[in-house]
Amino acid sequence: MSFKLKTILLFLGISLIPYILTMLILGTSYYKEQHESIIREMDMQIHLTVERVDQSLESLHKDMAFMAKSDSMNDIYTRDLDHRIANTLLAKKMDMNLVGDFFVFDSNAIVIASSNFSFIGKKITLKPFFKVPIYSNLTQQKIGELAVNYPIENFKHFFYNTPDRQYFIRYKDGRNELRLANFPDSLEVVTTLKSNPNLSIVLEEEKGFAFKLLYKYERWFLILLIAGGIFISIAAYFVATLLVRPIIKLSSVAKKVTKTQDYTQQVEIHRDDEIGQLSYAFNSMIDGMNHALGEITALNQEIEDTQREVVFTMGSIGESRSKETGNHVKRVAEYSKLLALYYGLDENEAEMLRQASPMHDIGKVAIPDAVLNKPGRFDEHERRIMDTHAALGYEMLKHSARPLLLMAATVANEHHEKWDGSGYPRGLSGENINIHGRITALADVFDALGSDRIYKKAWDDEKIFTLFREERGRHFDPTLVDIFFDHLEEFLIIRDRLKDHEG
Amino acid sequence: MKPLLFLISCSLVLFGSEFSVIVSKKLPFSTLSTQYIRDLYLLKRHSVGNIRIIPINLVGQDESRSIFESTVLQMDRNRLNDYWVKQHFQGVTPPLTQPSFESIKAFVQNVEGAMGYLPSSMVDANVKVIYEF
Amino acid sequence: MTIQKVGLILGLIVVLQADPYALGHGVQVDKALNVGGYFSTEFSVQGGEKTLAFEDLAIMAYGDVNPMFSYMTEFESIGFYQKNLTNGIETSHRQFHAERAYGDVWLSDAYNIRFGKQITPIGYWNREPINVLRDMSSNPLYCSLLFPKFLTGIDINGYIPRVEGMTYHLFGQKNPDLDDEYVNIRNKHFFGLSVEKELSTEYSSGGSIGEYITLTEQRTRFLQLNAKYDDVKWQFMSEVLLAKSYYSSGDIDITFTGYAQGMFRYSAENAILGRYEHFKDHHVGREDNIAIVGYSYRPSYPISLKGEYQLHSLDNENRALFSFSVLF
Repeated sequence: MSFKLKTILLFLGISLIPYILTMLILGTSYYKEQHESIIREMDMQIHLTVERVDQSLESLHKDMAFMAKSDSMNDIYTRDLDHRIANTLLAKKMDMNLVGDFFVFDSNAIVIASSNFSFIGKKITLKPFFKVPIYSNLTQQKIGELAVNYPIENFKHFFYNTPDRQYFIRYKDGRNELRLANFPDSLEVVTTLKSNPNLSIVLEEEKGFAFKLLYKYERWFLILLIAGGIFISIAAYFVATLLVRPIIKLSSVAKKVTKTQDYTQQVEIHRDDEIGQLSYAFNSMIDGMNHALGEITALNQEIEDTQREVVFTMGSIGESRSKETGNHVKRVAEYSKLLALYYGLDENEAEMLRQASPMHDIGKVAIPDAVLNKPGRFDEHERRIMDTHAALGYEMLKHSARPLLLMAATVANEHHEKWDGSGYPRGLSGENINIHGRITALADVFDALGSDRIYKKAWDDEKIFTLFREERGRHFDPTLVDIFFDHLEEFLIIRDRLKDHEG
Repeated sequence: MKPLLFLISCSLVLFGSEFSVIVSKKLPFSTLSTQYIRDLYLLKRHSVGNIRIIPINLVGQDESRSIFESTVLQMDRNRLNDYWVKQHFQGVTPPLTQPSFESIKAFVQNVEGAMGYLPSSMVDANVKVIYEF
Repeated sequence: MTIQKVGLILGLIVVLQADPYALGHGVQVDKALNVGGYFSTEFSVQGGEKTLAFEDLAIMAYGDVNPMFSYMTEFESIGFYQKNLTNGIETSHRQFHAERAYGDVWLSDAYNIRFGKQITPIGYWNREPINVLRDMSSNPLYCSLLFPKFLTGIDINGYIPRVEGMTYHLFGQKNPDLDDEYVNIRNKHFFGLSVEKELSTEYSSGGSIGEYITLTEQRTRFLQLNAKYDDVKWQFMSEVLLAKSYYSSGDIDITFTGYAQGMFRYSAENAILGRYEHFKDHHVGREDNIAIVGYSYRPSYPISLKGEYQLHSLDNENRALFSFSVLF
């Protein structure tokens, strides 16, 4: 993973994680608060309702206690002949809009008076909602009971029901009554009536309705969270990129330098901080490297030049003893390079051969003068001595590690080998002879035949060409002979250019 | 003796003893003086012997009440009203009322010590007459 | 102020809850709770000085808790508001004080025990101590100066057995008053016996003897007599009191006072009155004879409008007095 990507991810992480955590914490605490406040609001509502109901029931109870003390209750003695009590009860019932009835019982549970006249005189058993004893203010004894029958319907007008919230009654045993709607998912708060602990009022709210505000906020909260997250991500990305840019610049220049090996490259970062310092140091380093490299290259070049010169000089030395002019060495070198190029060797190898082939006769320095400079024909003994110059040259050069000198060693060793294997020192044939040797052999013979020597005069060109044709495939590599004849002109040009000067 | 009594009672009936003051049969006394009944109805006295008396008036302006007030209480309505206003200041409220003679009778029968007045024609064996006017 | 408010609220509640209301009869919330009240206002001109006063304002609550036990409470503010129209001085006493607070225990017609702060059961005038129930605005001196109008103690009263129409009151107080704000003579020792006989529907008469010791240790003994004739048209009332006071200086002095009042009711609403008072205090040598003529108009008994003119034998005491009062 790249540094840039790592930095960006790190920044994102550092900024998003706390943000998300905070938002979540805020969100949950807000949610809880809302939930609590919804429950509180419902509690308040139900307490108000319960208070109203309790107050109403209490005042009913008080009213009944008051009625029980009134003088008209004395009419119990007259069995309410004149229906004074009954009318009072009826008036009270009308006044209260009561669904239900008041009853005055005597000690035998017979109805003396009631707001429903049809009950008067009958014996009924009733489980009253409230009952109050009636005491005679003449005898101070209990002479009856005032009771009220208060059906659940009466609670209806306290309940302000809407489609989303409803009130209903719950008995102590858990039974519900007056529950009109069935909410599948709802919140409930329950409060028991003070005036009748067997009854409780329940406020039920549809969850969707109760939480509607909360749900709305929830949606907004999510949108905000995501928007915030995106914003933070973008900001983090840009900040990270901004921070990373100089580093990237630095690294890209370094990469370019490595790739192109162009040490003139510089990083363009101009800052005062550590990154600026780093880039300044980087530039200085590259500059230094560039200089050093330049010097090394120059030095290298010098070494190569020196090496070339030395080799050339060494080749010249080899030829100097045999009284051949230095140009023979140059011509052979050139012929070798040309042949190499046309044979298919690459420029470097051909150039190396040009530098190496002049040393083919280096071994001659170890040949005694008497043999080397004998004007006439060699005898067998002298021939054998003369022929050792190839192996001797090889021996001289084979210890070097330098490729040029190793090539020169091979050339020295194999420039007298013949295609048909009749050469010396090893009698190699065909392609066993190193191509460098084969090339040098042809080049050397061409130049020897075309130059004056101590033991002979220069041949005519026709004679030379006839020999070459004859020796094609015998002395010389047939391919090389073909190349020679194909590019004869060029060879002749070289010979002419590098002609020996008289004197 | 008997014819005399008969005559007296006839004359009483003929000469305006329309109304009777009644009490429960269980009470031990059989008659009371005008003054005593007056004291009871003006709530100056509250008992006969040991028995607490509860005087009952008929509601409203019935003739019986007017006659009762003029003959027994010896006060006209205005004076009686003045009296009860003064009594209100003293912390006394007028006697109980019942809306009808029937209820007076029922009350007198059922409540010991209750005293009321009604037309003599309504008197029967269930109540005791202690005064007539 | 709070008692006032409480009273007003109570009154309102009571009115809303109770039977149809008749003026002068109070509101019966329950046999054990009856509520009423009264007020009176006065306008007086004396020696060039005019005063207007909202004199009394009171609220009462009483009832029978059971046949044997009943109670009475009354809270009054005297001098609720007064304005001297001549010099513009305003005074007001908004404080309510307990005027009466007693309970009655009825044992029999011969024995009824009343304990608490109550009206001293002497004579006629003292027993109806409020303006609206009286026919003359002003009080005779006999009443205000000579004996304590209220006593805080026990009064045993009832009908004297075997005597027709005769009642007695035997009362005593051996403690300071419950609320002595409006008590005319503050005392810590007050004993007396009074009797009253109803001679007929019209005639009645009575008398009392008693003794009291004021907070300043002055002892007074008295003898009092009263008589009244009352029928539809006429009323004559007279009371006399003879008091012997033992002063701290060692003096023993007599005070004698009395009054006689006559009233002619020429209709249910209208009446004219005349009163003569005599007052002589030997200790201070003050003697006053007062003649008053008055007029009373009652559109309905609990509403009273009265006017009177007082002629004093003492200089500059002549006075014109008008009053308006209502009992609820």
